[in-house]
Amino acid sequence: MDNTTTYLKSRFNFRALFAGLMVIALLFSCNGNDDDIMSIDLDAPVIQETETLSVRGGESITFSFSVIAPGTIAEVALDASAGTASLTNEAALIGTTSGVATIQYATTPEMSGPQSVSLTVVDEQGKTTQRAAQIEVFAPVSYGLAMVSGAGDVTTTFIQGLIDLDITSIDNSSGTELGQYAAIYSDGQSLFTAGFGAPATMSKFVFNSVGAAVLDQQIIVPGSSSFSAVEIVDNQTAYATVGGGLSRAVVFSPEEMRITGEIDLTAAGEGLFYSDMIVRDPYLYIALNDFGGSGMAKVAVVDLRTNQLETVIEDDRTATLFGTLPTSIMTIDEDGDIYVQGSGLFSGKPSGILRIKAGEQTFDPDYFFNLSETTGSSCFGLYHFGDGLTFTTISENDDNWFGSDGNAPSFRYHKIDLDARLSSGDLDASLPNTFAASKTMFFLQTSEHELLFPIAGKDEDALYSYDISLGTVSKKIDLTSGYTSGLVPVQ
Amino acid sequence: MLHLNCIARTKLILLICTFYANVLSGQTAASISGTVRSADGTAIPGAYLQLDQDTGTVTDELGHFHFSNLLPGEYTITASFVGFQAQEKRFTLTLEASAIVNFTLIEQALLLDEVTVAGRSEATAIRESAAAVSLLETRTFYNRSIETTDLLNTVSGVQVRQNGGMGSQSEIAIQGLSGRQVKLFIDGIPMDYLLPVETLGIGAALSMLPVHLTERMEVYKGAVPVSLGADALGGAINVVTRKDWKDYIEISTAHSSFRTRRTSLNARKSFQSGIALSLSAFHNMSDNDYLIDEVAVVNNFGNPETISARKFHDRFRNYLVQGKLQLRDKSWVDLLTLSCSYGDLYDEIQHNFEMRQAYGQALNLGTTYNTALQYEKRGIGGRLDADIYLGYNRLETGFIDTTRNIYSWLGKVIGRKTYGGEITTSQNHLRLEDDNLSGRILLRYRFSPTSKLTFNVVGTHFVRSGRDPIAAEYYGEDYFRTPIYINKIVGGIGLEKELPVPRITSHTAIKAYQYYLEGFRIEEESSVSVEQNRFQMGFSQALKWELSPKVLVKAAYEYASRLPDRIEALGDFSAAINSNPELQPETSHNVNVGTHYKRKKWSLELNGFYRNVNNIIILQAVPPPVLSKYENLLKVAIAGVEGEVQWRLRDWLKLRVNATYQDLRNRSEKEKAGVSSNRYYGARLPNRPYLFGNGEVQFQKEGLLAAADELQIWWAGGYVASFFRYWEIDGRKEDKLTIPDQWLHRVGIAYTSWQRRLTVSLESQNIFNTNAYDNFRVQKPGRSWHVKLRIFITKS
Repeated sequence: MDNTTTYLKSRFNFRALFAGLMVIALLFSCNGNDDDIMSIDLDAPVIQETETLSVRGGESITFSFSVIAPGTIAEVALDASAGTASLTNEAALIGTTSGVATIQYATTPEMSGPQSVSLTVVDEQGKTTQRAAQIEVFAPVSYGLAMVSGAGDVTTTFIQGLIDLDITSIDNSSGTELGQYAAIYSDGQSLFTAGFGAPATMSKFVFNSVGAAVLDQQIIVPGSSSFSAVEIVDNQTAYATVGGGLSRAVVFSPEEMRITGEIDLTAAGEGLFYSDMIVRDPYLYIALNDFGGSGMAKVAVVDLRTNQLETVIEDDRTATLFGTLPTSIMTIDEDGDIYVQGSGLFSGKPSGILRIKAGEQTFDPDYFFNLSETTGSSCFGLYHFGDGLTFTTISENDDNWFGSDGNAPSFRYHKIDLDARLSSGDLDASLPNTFAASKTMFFLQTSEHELLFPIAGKDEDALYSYDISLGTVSKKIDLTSGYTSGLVPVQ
Repeated sequence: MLHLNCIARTKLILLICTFYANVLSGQTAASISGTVRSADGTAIPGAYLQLDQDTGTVTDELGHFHFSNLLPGEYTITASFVGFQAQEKRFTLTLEASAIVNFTLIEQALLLDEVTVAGRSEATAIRESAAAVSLLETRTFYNRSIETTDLLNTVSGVQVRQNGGMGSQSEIAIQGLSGRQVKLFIDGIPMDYLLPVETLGIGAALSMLPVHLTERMEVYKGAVPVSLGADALGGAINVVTRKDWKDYIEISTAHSSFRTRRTSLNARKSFQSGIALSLSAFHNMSDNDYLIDEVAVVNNFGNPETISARKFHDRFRNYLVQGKLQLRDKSWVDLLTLSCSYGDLYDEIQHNFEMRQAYGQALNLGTTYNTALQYEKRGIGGRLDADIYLGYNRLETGFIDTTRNIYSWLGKVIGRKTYGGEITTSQNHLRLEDDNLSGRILLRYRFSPTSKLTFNVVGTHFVRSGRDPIAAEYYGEDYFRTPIYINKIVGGIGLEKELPVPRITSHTAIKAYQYYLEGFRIEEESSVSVEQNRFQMGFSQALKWELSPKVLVKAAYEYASRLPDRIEALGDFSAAINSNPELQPETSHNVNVGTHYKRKKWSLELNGFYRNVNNIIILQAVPPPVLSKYENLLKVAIAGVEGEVQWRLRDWLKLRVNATYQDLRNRSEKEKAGVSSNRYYGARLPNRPYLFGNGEVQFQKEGLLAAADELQIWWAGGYVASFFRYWEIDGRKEDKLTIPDQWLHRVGIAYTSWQRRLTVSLESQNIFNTNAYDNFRVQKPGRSWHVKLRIFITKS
């Protein structure tokens, strides 16, 4: 017996044999689809899966499965995890041995995220096959909203997509945290953020199927402290100025998110802040802010055909073209005339509006709208929507222009008449004061009849609506998690 | 100026009544005091005195001891000190007698490491005082390659957040309060009078105080003793510098990763005449060129590409030379110390706040000159101890930001700015000169065996002037030339009273703060004079109850105040901060309750704390060049617990573990939170750690290879739980920005030989090479190696 054992041991490596058996057993156990293998019925209908598809919530999509059956197809059924699926050619499939099942899948605006549609085919022998298609239903985001939230010295911006503006209240629970104060822009498709903090970083966000903003790509300009003004012409062309040591604007493609050129602004002067931009083909007009140092309003004129600074125009009737990332101080009217609003801060000059007439590259010497004289206050911001609709904000307390007293917002929305150079008074007497220069101020036209604008007040943060035809103001959306630094249309 | 409102006046009257009640109760007990000296007459600090079986104390720096509140009867008192033969004396005390018992101890043939033991004994006395205090003896760490900031971080309830390696920006927090709310002292003198804390930050300043120059760190959590004269809101750290009483010479050198070198020389020589000379000098340097992950370089299209890169502009150098001339044991003085020091610092700045923009040339410079005269005399008239300090300090700091080069994270110049420096819009070549004259009078009067009165007043006169010709070109005027003046007086009076039954010690204190600031603000591009004058009061009450020889219970309340400092009140033009003379002091109601359970081999300490902080001073930042301003915002409630266990498993194996949980909640109504709703009321404060702890295991064995050798092996670890960068209640939870969990480990081995004179150590810090962060996106060093050689020779 002992000899036999010794012989066997010498002939076989039992440990290796045991290990081999274990590996084989493991391989079998790991192949978890053996049930499928065993259950394949070669006589059952075969369904070729279609590719994963995506659709915008509220819209429909048509796609197809290829169906092959050895026998004839007797029955076809559809099931959708959400929304409505219907076969457009069911009659054509019944009784055939192969064909394409064309499915119309309709979604609802509320639907979002991954959904499935399954097709079940039964042949005349009663054999059944089922296949499912995964469909990404994208929330039909139509607007991007930036909300600045936080208390004390810890604040940051959250961006989120909105399906529509038919809501009365919104918080930031669906917002993507940016980690900086940022304003937002749009090329009509995506959302772009530009915020404070070196180096200047512009981020492009897209919205995923559940409507969350997801970072897609960034553009960074090393050495600069932030982007200071952004002008997006279309999805191929946009301009952005940088602040903090670089006298430069970059030209970039919003779609590809690539810098495609630079505009050297050194000749416009050192230490300037570029506070707003406006394009009037073939020129780009850049508002220069020297914080009252020169006592003049200055605008750089760039020839976009060559991306070269052509000239800097100056006017001493107002000064300090102070602007912020969310707020415009330049606008263009129906005639192509550009209007530029100066605050007059730190210069002893009045707040006022200058004009660069269409076809001209100089300030119109015959036009000056002395806002300080007309409204009795210094002013900030300029928005024009045609037909005499022009807005600014006026400061009731210049000592709190920059909001150092957080309990005393000093700005009120004001309506003005650019042509007549007259004040039309408070936009609405019931509106609370707002922190326009230190927090936010903008107007967005959302329909033929409506303009939206933000209030960042002592007791509320909200988006208000201005009815263009009635000239009335009403609260549109309560912002319960902070004030908004931007609202832009996206797709 | 001295107007007190009705409530304050009532409180003051109550406090005074408390004082007198304390003073007048029970003055019939007897006391024993005396001095312990060596055979050559040198006082022995830290010697242990055992009175019968159940009471003990240690001698102070001048060898004095005192037992009070004793009943008449026979006593046996034993004086002992390592390296000396113990001595015992018996005597009889009568009612209301005050006996004086002096000891002269004889040295043993073999001198042991007596200083370490001395520290331990004194440490016990402080630890068991009425104050809520943690104490860290640093002598154990002389053999290690550890920074002072890292060492502080191991104390329970203390959190040090750092931006990098040696000399990096740091912030110290004690039980949830941090930054300016925590005051640091060196031997009882506010540190910012001695080191460039304000201009260069606490990290760089503490690097001028390496571990081997210190003896211990006293961390006061909550009520700050009267003897520390400053307006601390949330506790204080007193770094006690090394006081060796023997002649010795010590040389140490350490070589570490990232081209880090630490070299030091300490020596002391005393003479029969009572004169002693000592010299301390060190030189530290580091390239801090550790690898950082996830920094971005930009391609030709402006798109970022994430890379790993070594820091290339974070070098740090500093040195300090300090000399002391001391005169001891004269009839008119116990100890008179004249000290002078000179130090210099060079600190490169690698990146901005969130480590997103690399810098290649910006740097800080610092030079300190300190001269101080200190007079100490105990037992004046048998009852009064006096400690008088007079110091003149000059701090010169520089901020250089002149290049227009733009650097990538690879250290290459990738462009040029058209104006401004790397950090500032103006470019800077700023030199600031601070002259500071400070004085302190600390008096302790024992007017009964059970009562001791402490009076402390610290006065300072500070003048700053500066120049920045480069910034002046940009602004058209050199605003830094306008001088700034600060006169500050902090006074306090405290009564320590041992109540007869049941072994309760009370400590009551009143503090008063007065300051006058004069500076400037910028209005319409002109400098306008600004001044602020403030008076504030504070008080505290602490109780200690020795429940049994093993159990100690403490409770303390303090109404603490912190006055706006220079930058907050007067602004800082170089940082685009304008003045705000309207700022109110920060105030806090601090409550601490704790217990200390002590067994022969292990001890347990448990503490609970509560803070109610109001008028927190916060920078309300606006984009430059508009000047930002500090404002009183936020009211915060902090509640937490901390605990520490120390366990001597064997004579050669020790374990220490501590953990802290703190909950910081916003208690501001919207008006004080800078928001339009009460959404943040009750929300946890962001960007503050809430759970952290430390552990250490130390193996220490003597006589392994030779009679007087010693092997030391240690592991130390630290943990900080992940916390949110911004408010927890905001935003989508899935992708909130966080400072991740942090587990850091250090291990080391040290071998001491040649009659305990030579120690060689090897240590690895962050041995698992973890990506570590205290602040969002700002990566700390990875694994580093440290080799250290230390030679300590003393007279035997």
